Amino acid sequence: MTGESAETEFERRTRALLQAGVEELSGHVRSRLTQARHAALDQGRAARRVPSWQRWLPAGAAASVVLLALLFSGGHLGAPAPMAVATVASPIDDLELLADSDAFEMTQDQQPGSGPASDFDFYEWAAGESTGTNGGTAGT
Amino acid sequence: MGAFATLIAGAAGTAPLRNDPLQDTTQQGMREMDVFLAGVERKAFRMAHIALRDEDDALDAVQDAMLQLVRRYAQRPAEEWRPLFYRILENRIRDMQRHRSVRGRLLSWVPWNSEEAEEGTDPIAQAPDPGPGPQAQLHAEDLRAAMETALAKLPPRQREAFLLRNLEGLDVAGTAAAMGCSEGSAKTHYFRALQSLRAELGEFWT
Repeated sequence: MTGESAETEFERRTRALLQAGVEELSGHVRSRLTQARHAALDQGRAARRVPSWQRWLPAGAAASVVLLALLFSGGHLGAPAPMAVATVASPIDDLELLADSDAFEMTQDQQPGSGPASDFDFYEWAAGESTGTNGGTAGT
Repeated sequence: MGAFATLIAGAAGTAPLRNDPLQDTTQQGMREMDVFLAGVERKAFRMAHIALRDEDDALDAVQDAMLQLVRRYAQRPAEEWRPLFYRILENRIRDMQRHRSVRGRLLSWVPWNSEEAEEGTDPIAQAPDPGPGPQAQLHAEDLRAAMETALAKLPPRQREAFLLRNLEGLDVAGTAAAMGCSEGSAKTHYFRALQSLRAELGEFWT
């Protein structure tokens, strides 16, 4: 007996056993399988009776609701954006302050021993800068 | 016009109009599907039962596969149904095994559920009912039980390849299509399954 024929015999025997298992299924299982098949076919028929445009109704309704909600609340939803940008930008400003040597000098002015007049000058200049009244002497 | 007539007939709950081509096609397709499912349902159940070792779970898997095939692929050519059906079934079986594995792991942490967990894996409850019969029948039952145990031990892909070819009778191309792999992979899985089963069942075959 060759290996090939032995393998074929093995396959034949296993197939016979498996087929016997199929043939000997209980009536209960067969009945439930039939019920399952009928249920699947019924649902398939029901699904086909519904026109394709009706299948999209729930999704369309949901999309419409979302769209309307966005349209009506559009102005309110857009308002906080500038604040958010400013909030996000603030750490970058802090970094620029730390890296700026002028800013460092300004803090040095606040150390003991430096006159309060320089602080005053700075704040006065800063106030004038924001109101636009400094003129050409701002940088001096 | 035909589709509208079908819609009206369906909505009114009346009998479908005669000579409606769409209705006729649907009815014919459903009859073919019925014949197809009736032809595969028992083998499909056996495959699911061998993999899941639970009758209710196996029935659920087969029903889900039937439903998905009818819903999604009834319009496809009938010759494609068999590999599609078995691919859906195997995916469902794998999902259920995964779900069962996760549930088992979770429930193992719950002390008051240990009795139920043990009940689920009771070998006596899971064993096939031998029923009355002569000695030869008992021997055949032993052989079948041993084979199913050996099949259940196989890696899923090997078991899938073996059952598709040996129980369902698909050829290499059909097996590969049902498994969603190349023919070479299907052959390899089948060959390894044969080797493992022969090693496992050798003593029962002498």
